[in-house]
Amino acid sequence: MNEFSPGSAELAAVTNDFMRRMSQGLAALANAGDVTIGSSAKDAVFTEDKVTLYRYRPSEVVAPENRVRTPLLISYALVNRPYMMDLQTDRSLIRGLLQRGVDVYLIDWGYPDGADRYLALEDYVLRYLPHCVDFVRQASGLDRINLLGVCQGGSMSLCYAALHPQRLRNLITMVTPVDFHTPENLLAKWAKHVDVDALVAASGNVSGDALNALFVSLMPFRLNSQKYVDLLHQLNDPNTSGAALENFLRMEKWIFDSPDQAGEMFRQFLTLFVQQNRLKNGTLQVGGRPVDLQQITMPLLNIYALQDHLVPPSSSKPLGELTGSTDYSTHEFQGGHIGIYVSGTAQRQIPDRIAGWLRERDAER
Amino acid sequence: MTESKNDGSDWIQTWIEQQREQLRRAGMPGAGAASAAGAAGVSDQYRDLGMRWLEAGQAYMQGWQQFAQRSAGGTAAGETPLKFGEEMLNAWQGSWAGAASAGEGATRQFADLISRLPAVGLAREQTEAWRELLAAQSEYQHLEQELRTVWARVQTDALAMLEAAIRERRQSQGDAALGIGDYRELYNLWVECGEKVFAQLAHSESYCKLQAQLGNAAIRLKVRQQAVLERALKQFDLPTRSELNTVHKQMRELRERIATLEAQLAAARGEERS
Repeated sequence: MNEFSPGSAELAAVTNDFMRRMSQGLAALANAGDVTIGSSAKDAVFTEDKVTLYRYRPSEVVAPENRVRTPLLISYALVNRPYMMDLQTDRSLIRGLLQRGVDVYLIDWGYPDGADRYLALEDYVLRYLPHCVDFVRQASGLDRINLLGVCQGGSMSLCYAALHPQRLRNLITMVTPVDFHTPENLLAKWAKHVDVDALVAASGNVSGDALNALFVSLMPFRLNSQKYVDLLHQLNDPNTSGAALENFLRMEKWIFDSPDQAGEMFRQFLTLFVQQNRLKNGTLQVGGRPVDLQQITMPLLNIYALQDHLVPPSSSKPLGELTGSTDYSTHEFQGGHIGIYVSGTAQRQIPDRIAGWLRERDAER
Repeated sequence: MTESKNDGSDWIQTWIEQQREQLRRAGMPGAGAASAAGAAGVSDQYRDLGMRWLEAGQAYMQGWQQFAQRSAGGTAAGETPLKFGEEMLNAWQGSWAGAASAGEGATRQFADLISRLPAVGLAREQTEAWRELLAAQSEYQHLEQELRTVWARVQTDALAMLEAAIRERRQSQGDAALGIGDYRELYNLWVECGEKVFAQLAHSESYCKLQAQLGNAAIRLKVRQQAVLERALKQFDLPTRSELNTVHKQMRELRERIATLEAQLAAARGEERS
């Protein structure tokens, strides 16, 4: 935009004004410091390889009689970091659950490196996840616990629940893809013709940076440009608080803090789940054991976001018809894949819905 | 929000035309790949050299023309050397342009020849590895250019959609209206149009295929790069990724065997106790 044709003085004026605002925004941005992540106190209670299981310290303001007795284990996706569940004080699903008396455990899958390239689906579904479940069962003295799977972590939780239904009291899936071949599923369409075997053979682990580029390219105009222009404009607004800038920077940190994906696990997930849709078709096997969603007979709450561009609702909804649970509920959230954790509406709705649903089923023991 | 005078001067249309012009420039065939393609790079240098010679030639001819004018003492006499000079300049320019294209052609022919020659002799394996690398690179660049063209079309279509949207607004707001209040509004509308056009394309089978083809070509290129690099690493007795993979695979197998043995041991101990 450096050249202006004769007679475009007006354009030059508005451009200059626009650029002036951008420059002022940049100056404000330069003064922003580092951001802190996470708000609730937690302790590492179990580790295996690079996997760490955390237990969040219960909220002291909840009376013992108001606590949900069965602990909740959260299995996050391998893509991105689980601190999204507890990003900051006023944007934290975990804090919301703690305040409602839920005993929360969270699995952090860690950052796989070159030595982990042969970690496979069975390592996650038949080793790490079961070991975490068993730890929580042992620590709580309960045979069955509650499991909440998020996104890809939800798909893995469904596999685990189908293989070990006797170890779970209740299952919750959040923005979890089940049917990968619905018309709205853009990621699956893009993955359709990719030679995944060759990709993993050549790359080993799949880089988190490459995945970031992929996710950003789903909405290139908005995610590469508009959101930053919006930010710089907001910074010129005297009503914009420093907290808003911190929120933005915290989200940026989370979005681009993407672990590399263990090669074999990525290959299996993309081939078996995304390209071949085996979870939905009932032809998936983990470590030679068939995954039959009809074996999921425990109460099941399926939460999905109506404006989710990564896991469209059409991908999550079919779970109701595939599961063997006779106590199946859904919760539709008006928002997107990220908004379901961090938006103001989410802070009011989601912890309430989860804690309430768990409490109802906790009392039935 | 940026304010602008609504005085009827159509800065919006000017902005749209500027974007179109930029796209036209960026969308010139080969423009994006020129720097990457070796042959094109050589030809650019060649042309640049030609232009320098041409400038030198022009200066020389101008000097000669001035001298001739002074010698003849009139305009009429000066016309002949000027014409002569122009002809020379044209011939000069033509020869350099021809040489540039000949150079470009020769480079391409040579690269083509190399790519078709069977690798032989002492360096057969190395030559073959490099040849495969060049072929993979060429395939990748071709597909990348194809994708760039598609993206350029998205932006062009987005501008057309933007124009239509503004026209619609103007019609609904009255003839004197600009349809857009300020630059930010224009930008946001452009983003909206861009996303709409892209979403439509992104879901199409042809785009999904092209993007995957480019990804697969990038993988093949990486494999060829790795092969060349690993060959070099071996010369220095340095560990390669392939060797590390073998070690990791062996470790994984050993770990699985230990876990199986431990489970068997635990089961056996349990049987002993009972």
